[in-house]
This record gives sequence, C-alpha cells and structure tokens, in this order.
Amino acid sequence: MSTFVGLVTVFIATLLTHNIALTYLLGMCPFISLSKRIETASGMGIAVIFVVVLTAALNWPIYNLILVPTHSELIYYITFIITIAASVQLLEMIMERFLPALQASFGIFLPLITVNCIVLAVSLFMIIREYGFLKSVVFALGSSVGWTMAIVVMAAINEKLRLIGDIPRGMRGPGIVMTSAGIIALAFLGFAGIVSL
Amino acid sequence: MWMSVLMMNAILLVVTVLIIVADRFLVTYGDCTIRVQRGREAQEFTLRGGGTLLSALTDHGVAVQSSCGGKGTCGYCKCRVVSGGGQLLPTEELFMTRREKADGLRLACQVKVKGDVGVEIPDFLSIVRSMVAAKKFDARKRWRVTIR
Repeated sequence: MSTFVGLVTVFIATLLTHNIALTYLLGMCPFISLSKRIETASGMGIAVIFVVVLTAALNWPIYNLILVPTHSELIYYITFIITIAASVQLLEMIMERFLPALQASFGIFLPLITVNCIVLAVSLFMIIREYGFLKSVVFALGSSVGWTMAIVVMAAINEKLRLIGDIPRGMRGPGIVMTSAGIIALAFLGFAGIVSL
Repeated sequence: MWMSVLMMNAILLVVTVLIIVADRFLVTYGDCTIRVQRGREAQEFTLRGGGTLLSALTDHGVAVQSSCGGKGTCGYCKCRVVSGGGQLLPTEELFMTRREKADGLRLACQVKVKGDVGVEIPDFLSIVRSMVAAKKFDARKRWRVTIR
C-alpha cells in the first residue's frame, strides 16, 4: 500500500509541484517554438510522453544491471545519450514499418525529441534520486505528462493572445511566451506544499 | 577505468548492430523512381528509397538551392512535388505562404522518398538568362522567382 501511495505521490509531484517545464525550466526549446497551436503542442507532448517513458524504462536497467556491477558509472551520461538516440531511431523505424498512420501523426516530432533535454534530464534525475524501476517509470510518466500539460496550456494562451492581437511588437514570439510561462509557473507555485519529492 | 572504456565500446557496438539490422530489415522501400521536370527538360532516375528528396536530387546531379544542407532551416529547396510526397509537414509550414501550400510546394529536404516521386523544379538559370535578355533583371533589387 505504501508503495502505491509513494508512486501516486511521485506522479502528482512531477505533475504539479515539480513540473519539469515550469519548475526546472527544461525542454524550453520546443516549449517556445511549438506552443503556437494546441494541435502541434499536443502532438509534441504525446511524442515526449512516449519517448521519455520508453527511455527511462531502458536506461534504468542499463545503469543498474550493466554499469553499476561493472563499476562503469562514470560513463552514464554518454550511455544515456546513446540509448536515447538509438531507441528513438529504432522506434521510428518500427513505427514506419508497422504503424505508418501513427508515425505520420507524430511527423517530425519524434526525431526532434532525440536532442530534447527533458528526455536526458528524466533519466539523470531517476539515477541521482536513486529511484526503483517502477518509481522511475511513474516519475518519467508524470514528468512527461506534466510537460505536455504545460505546453498545451501555453499553446491555448498563445491562441487566445493571437485573437486579441494587440501584443507590442517587441514582445511578440519568444518574449510573450517566456512572460506567459513565468506567470503560469507562478500560478503553479500555488501547488507547492501539497506533495514533495 | 579500462572497464568503463570496454563497456562504452560494447554498448556502442550493440546499438550500432541493432540499428544496422533494423535498417536492413525494417526500412525496405525498394527501388523508387524519381521523375524530375526542370523547365522544359525531363529527367528520370531510380534509387533505393529511404533518403530525402534533396539528397536524391543532388546525388543525381540535379542542383537544388539549399544553404542549410537539408536541415529544414533555410527554406530554399522549394519544389513542387506532383506525386508521392505525402502531406506537408509542420516543419515546412513556416516557410510556405498559403498560395505555395495550395500550389503543392514542398521543401525537398523534408520529403522522404518512400515510393515513386514526381517533382517540378524551377530552372533558375534559364529564368535568370531570359530576365537578363529582356533587361528585366537588376541584381541590386531584391527579386524572387515564383514557380507557376
């Protein structure tokens, strides 16, 4: 029971109080560039959820079953990067072959994620915080869902802002996105204290 | 330390083998024919699918403008894909006007060759020559060529 409560706590914490986009400011590149339309943002979000959970589930056994027993913890950064790049590449090939419709809906987002810092950050956090396998997967799921939530909220705000249309010229583009993200992050501070990691 | 180096190489080796095997057995588009209409000239060639249209064209001596080398950031490699190009990708939308989208223009670097592709490319050289001959071309002025 306590394990279950622990997992739910991690999930809620990564979603609200320790949101990877709004608290750690990770994954800002796609957050700024792809938050113009809700459709694009949710497409990227789903691809992020897919890849983050998959790579966390792969990186945990690689670290704990291969690197730790052979005292090769030194190379975990580079190993994780290789795993992420290779798994995204393989995933794309498999989807292209067997699920072309799903691959078409992901479009360019899937290969773009290879260089996304959220993916590496989640794998590094789970090692640094010494999570177990199940906790790592839940942590990855919560983090990626939290990031998706943040980018979709941002896209919704951007769509509304475009309708209003009186944003000062200098603030258009990344300027207004960062300002809005800051305000959303302040709003999310209201959740602080509910749960903690 | 030597163990780390050994593990690093072992992991790299496994990953490389995995990708080569997957590439060999999963990505099989077979031979694809590309028909290029460039001005009045028509050209046709066959190659193994899987690469981008831009690299397919440049590999076969069809020069297409591109300054970013196929990264999808410059937007110069516009061409009209008549058939086999699939849908316009979100990465291309940034570079396309509404009219260009309706005209079926694509960025050659973003189109993956998965089957037979028909493509029309503007013959810039002959366009410029005809403009110079008609004294319509002034290098000091900004100019652009619209594909019709």
